[in-house]
Amino acid sequence: MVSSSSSFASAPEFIISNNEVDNEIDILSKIQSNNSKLPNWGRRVRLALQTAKEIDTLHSSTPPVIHRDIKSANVLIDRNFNARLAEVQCEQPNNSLYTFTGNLILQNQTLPVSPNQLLLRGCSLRNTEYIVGVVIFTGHETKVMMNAMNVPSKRSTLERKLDKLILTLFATLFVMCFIGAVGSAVFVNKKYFYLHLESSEEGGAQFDPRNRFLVFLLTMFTLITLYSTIIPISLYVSIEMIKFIQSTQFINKDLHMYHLETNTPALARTSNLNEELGQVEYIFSDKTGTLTRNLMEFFKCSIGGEVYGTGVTEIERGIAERSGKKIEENISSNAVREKGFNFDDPRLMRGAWRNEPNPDNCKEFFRCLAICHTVLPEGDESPEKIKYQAASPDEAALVIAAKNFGFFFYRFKQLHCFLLRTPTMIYVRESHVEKMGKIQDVPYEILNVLEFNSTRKRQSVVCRYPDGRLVLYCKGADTVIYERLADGNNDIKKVTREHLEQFGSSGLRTLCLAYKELHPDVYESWNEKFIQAKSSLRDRERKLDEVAELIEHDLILIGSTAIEDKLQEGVPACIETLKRAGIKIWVLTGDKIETAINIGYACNLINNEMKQFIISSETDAIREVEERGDQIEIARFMKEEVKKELKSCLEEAQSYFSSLSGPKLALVIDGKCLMYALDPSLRVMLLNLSLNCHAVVCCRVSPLQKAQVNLFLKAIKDWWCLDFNYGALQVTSLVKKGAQKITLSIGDGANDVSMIQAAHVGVGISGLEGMQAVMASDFAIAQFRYLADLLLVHGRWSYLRICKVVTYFFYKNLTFTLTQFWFTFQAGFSGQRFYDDWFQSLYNVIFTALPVIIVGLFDKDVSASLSKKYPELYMEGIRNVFFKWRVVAIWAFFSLYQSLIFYYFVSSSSLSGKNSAGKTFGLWDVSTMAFTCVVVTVNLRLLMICNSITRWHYISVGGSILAWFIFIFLYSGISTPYDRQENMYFVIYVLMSTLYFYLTLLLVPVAALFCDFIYQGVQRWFFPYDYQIIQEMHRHDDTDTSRAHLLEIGNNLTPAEARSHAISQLPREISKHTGFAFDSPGYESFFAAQLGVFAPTKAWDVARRASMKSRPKIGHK
Amino acid sequence: MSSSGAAGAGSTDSTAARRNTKRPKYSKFTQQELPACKPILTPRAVISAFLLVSVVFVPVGVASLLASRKVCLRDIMYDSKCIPKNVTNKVAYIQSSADKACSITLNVTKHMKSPVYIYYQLDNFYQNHRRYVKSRSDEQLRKRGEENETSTCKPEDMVNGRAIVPCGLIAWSLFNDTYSFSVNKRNLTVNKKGISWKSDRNHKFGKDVFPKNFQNSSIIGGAHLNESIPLREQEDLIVWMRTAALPTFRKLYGKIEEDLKEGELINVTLNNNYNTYSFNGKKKLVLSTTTWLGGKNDFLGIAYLTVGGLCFFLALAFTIVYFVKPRQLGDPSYLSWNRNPGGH
Repeated sequence: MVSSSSSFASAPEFIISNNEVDNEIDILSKIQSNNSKLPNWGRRVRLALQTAKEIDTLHSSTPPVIHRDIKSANVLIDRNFNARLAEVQCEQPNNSLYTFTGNLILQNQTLPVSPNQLLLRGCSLRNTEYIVGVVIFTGHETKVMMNAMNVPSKRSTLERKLDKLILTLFATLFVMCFIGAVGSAVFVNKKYFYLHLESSEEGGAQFDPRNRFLVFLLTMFTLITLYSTIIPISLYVSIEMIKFIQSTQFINKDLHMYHLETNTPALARTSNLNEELGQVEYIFSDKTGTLTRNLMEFFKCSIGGEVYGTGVTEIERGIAERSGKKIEENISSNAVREKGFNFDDPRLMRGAWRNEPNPDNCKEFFRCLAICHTVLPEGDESPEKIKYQAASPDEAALVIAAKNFGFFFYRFKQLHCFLLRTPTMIYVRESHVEKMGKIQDVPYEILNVLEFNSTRKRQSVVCRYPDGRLVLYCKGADTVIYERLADGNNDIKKVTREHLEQFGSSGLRTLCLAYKELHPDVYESWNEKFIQAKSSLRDRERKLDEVAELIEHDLILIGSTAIEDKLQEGVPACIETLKRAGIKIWVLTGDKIETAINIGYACNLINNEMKQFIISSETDAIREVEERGDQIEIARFMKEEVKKELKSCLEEAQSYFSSLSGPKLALVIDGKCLMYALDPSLRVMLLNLSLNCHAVVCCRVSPLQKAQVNLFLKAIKDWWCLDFNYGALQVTSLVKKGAQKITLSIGDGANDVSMIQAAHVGVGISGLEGMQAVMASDFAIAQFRYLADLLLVHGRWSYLRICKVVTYFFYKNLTFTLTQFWFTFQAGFSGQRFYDDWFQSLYNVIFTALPVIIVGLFDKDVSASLSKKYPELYMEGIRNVFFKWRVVAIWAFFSLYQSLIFYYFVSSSSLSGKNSAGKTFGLWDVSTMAFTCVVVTVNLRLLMICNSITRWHYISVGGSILAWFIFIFLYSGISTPYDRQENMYFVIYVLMSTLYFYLTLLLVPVAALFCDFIYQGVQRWFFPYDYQIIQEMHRHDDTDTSRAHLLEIGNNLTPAEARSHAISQLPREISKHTGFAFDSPGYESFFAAQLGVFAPTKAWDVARRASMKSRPKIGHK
Repeated sequence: MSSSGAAGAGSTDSTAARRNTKRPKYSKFTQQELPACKPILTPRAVISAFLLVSVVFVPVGVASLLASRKVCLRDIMYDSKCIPKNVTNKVAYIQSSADKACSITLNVTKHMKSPVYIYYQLDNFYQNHRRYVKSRSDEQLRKRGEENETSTCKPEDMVNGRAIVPCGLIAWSLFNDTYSFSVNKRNLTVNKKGISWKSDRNHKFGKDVFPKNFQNSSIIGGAHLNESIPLREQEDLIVWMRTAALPTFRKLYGKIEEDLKEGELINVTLNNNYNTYSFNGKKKLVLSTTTWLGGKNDFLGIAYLTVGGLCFFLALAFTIVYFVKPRQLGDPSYLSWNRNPGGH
């Protein structure tokens, strides 16, 4: 076999042929091992010849193909013992995972190769003994490798600001050195004869007054090394250590973020961004799988104009509760419930549908569910034990529904996916079809599958009944199906459309089902075109779509399905908490505008208190233009419309914004409008508007959720999807660049990856949709509600702690260096060290290192439960109150003050005798005394910034001071023989023999911390931070029990409890509007109309027209 | 295990499931529930801290100030007095070999109890200059055999190819003014033993190291040393070699071991040899007694009193504010989101 691939690597990508191939093709080695089939000598020679010919082909191709020895395993032979020569034509290596176009030319026969036949790198083979394949791409050319994005290395904003601080410190360092160096150049003078300044010995140039410029330069370098302690090098190491422990020990091991059902703890995949979590102002959230569970349950359906299903969705319940109604729920005891199926209606179950007005419709509906899909059954062929493998839970839910209705899809036989001749069979066990109680197994032959993608938004299957009847079943989004329906039957269409809207407003995901009988001749002629399109190399997708269009028309509507995607546990409460924390939330969803708004209400994102702005592309004016079909015209018109809308919204928003007590704002914008609003000329307006909004819902941005019906290896290469990613990416980057605010993206699917990577912090939900989002994320959590813990507890604490660590490091190094700087002035600017080398080196490493790390780990202003009880505390992080330049300046001021105290208090008294024997101190006595004071003070100062002091604080602070004394006792007590100036010898004992030392040691730290203490007292008394008030309010609480208590509540809250809790937080007033209350003009009348309540149509009733175009008002229900 | 509170949910798991579980283990550390005390800086705490400091500091301040006041100190600046009036070039005068003896008188204003310490004080003399500080060889000073260890002593390391002992700028510039005291024509003995720190004497200067080639170079920096006396006994050198921290410093010269009575006139005969004139340094002779705190040092007492006094006044001020304009602890109306609804 000759392929276009060039070399073999350890992890290549294959195209595979199916098991069936081994009927025709075999591997020589396999035959060799099977003696019975050994070929005779003539065949062997022929084989050898054929193999030689192939090698010749390899060699003569340009460029020659490099290969190793030809093993028998590399030779494919067919049944007649002919070696097979095949040619693979394929596309160039690219990064698109879901597309592949190629042809396999085998015996003058061209076989199309599609993504179905491509095995990506890293895939593992299950349930298959062996495959025969050809390597297509290897190494870096594999799709997976080419798709591996450069994961952006993220640094936290605080760290970037820290860099600026370090730069400032460098600038300070140079200013100090410059002053010192100039001083030195001025100071050096021959008159100081005792310094021998004009001597010409080696190294004497540093202080030679004959060349003052050289003196300046050399002293500059000396001073840089002398003052280098101002740069806190150990800060970075300490911060890394702190963050590492924070993420691995605290975040990863937090029991509050452990999800029992899925057995997933939280996972911090990077330790860079802990404190960034404490400053997030914008959250971008995906809906499906993030806010919702991505557990699809078949909930309702509409067949032939009749709604079935008695359930009440959470959203409906929420709406009802908000409007003060009570919904009676009567769950019948015999309702079938299983995963994916939450439906109860006695009219349909157990064959009862036969008694419905139109049982044929029902039958087609169920068949469509059982046949039109790409689900694979697994396991035992009994209704109880079978498991369905589906790429999306929606599809599985539909097939499970069919099973429960008596159309049990139990076997799937794919005969040949490579050669298109033999069809696929689907076996369905149908009950009650002919008559009640009769069960029969019916095999359906699947002739063609017209696959789902998000341009088509539908999926069709052509199948042949056992009696030869040809039927096309189709399911898809309402918009695309309605376009392709046959004329007539308008009643059902209208009624079904109403049902669809009703489902939509209850937050259900809808699909329309339709079918069509095919005439064999029509089918045959179409099938030829289909096969042609399927094997074309260029534009295969587009051609297939075009061919599909030829047959998917004049469909007959059967009905529609409604699937519920339940909100995750605790989502409303969590969003409420996050909102109170001052975080603005954007939800990006593929839903219709009404569904999106309802979801918004259900999860507390939007409420009646908020002023809503709606920018929709589904207005009459836009539709009119769209119908004319001129793309350029549409674009121009849309842009104008969007601009107009944005402008008016912005003006209104600003009028609210200028008045402080105005309502909070919410923006609802649909995907198309968003695309235009992101245009550079409108971007600023969008930014201004959205930054003022507390909640933004972007609907219809993703490919419709139905796109996920497809196997994830199949098709999603289409502009809509790309554009979505692009769009989402842009949205995130917009806020990131424009406003200097910190953004967080949370999502669970592959389509959220770009969003996750673009935001400052990416959070992946380790849920049902694979690991892509998690792999791209910085933090992975199991449930959306853990976001509250992650941000409000871990994020806030990390932010506080890192701020403290950074400012404290800044303070302690500045203080230390400044004492040295003051000494320079009194040492003739010579660059003489005030402190011994060892003191200076160990200051950061031992004497002040550990306590600050302890603070970075253990400091807590208020307990975790209080952090969540008062989410508003989080706003201190958003406003960055703890690491502003003002804060740094205050610290700098105090370190200036303290350094002056240290230096002058200690040195001013060096003149007189220090003990009763009248002896005086020398330089090293004074400096050791000063250093002792610095170490003691700096360590005590640390205790002053602590909000909570554990045993470890005492141990580390006490230990650091003790370490200094032990060190100095040893260091000055032992006289080392060589290489040491003995300045320090016995210094501490000399000092400790004087009372003066003790008096100084008491005076200096107190005097130094005096100002800090006054500042802290005054600040707390007159300008308290929020957390300080909270501390005071709860100063008598027993914190240990309160958190454990909260743990119980947090984990055991049922959805209903969480919801009622969330609702109880809403203002208890009956809405100002009729029916159930949507405070936006468009929805009021729309929903009111559905409930049969009259509301006047208004000119600006945008959304109503969007979904009720040309629909007369029928009071339904 | 104290997991009772947190592990409740998982308690029904079978043991096998528990083995596979990724549930993090409960510990106070990972759950960040370490017991901690939470000090709150309440007004009461602030006031009591201030009071405590003032209560401790004022007495200490008073005690040290009293001690300092008890010290009798007489000093006299003689650098200009001891230059004959007709000399214009002071530097040339001091470098000449003329007899520079000089006589000054000090009157004792207060009874000075024995021992009275004699100090000389130099001004504008940078003993802490980097070049100066490192220009010594501790090896050489300590051990006889190491006398060639002069590499750190430049430029005063060798003379005519032979090592100087003691080498370096510090030793070379040894102070060489001498004082003798008499009261009523009666000479007072100046005891020059025990004026250096004992640790310096016993560990840094060898008892078998003798000065060699000292002050033999062309320029003479200061005092000569008696080459027959080991360094350990040359206490003037030992005192001098403990370099001072600041450019103004005092060093002990000796002690007079008898009381000086009030009103006595002390006649000081001094040899004004040391050159401070080239760098405009001043020279002072200081006589001082000591107390338990050492010499005269008002600074410490004043600092203590200032801090203690300030604390007292602040305690008062805070108390007044506390009563006049109290802030209730934990008043929710102080929360930013309550002060400013909307959170903007």
